[in-house]
Amino acid sequence: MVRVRFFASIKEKVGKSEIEAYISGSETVGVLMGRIADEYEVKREVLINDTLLYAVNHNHVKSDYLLKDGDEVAVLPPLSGG
Amino acid sequence: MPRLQRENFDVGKEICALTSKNQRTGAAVSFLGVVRDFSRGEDIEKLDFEHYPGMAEKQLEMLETKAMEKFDILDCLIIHRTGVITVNENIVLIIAISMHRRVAFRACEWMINTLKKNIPIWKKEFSTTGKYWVEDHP
Repeated sequence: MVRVRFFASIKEKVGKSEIEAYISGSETVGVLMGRIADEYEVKREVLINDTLLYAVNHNHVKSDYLLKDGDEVAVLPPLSGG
Repeated sequence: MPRLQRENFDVGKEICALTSKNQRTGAAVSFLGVVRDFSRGEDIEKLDFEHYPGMAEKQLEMLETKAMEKFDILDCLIIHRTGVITVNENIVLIIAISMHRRVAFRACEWMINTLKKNIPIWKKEFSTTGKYWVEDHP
């Protein structure tokens, strides 16, 4: 099981700030995003596109990062601090 | 230590607090980000800043550490506000102190540019025609 968190515009598009998801064996962030999009009936490009950043356990990662049980995954839309 | 906080800050006090900690200080360079009253041709009423608790603090700490490693500065400080901020109010303060000015200017610019690219903070603009998440880097 992993915890998946959504922020800002992604949170509004998904309609949730976080969910829990099972992962099967070695699954990447990108594969998980595809499954979540299908399960929550969100267009895949909302969770998988070149403008998004991903984080696992508060560190920036690429979409091919391999997840493990207990990870906290975050989908970060384009940042706009400062 | 960087700070993420809802309340405003006093720029002068923050600079003095940092410089007074190190008697080798010969230069203090600061960047202050403030809410302006327009964006993309529309009047802005306020901004609302959301952040990723835990990650934003961690990444800000890493940013200060990297700045200390990368530049020959004596110390630095980043303060970023969260929540609703109205026109003319402070958003972010970055200070770099050093023995000589040049490196402090470079460190300060590098920190604000890197903050905008790496720190999980998002800005929602409330204009006279609606509200929008800002998703570009002007």
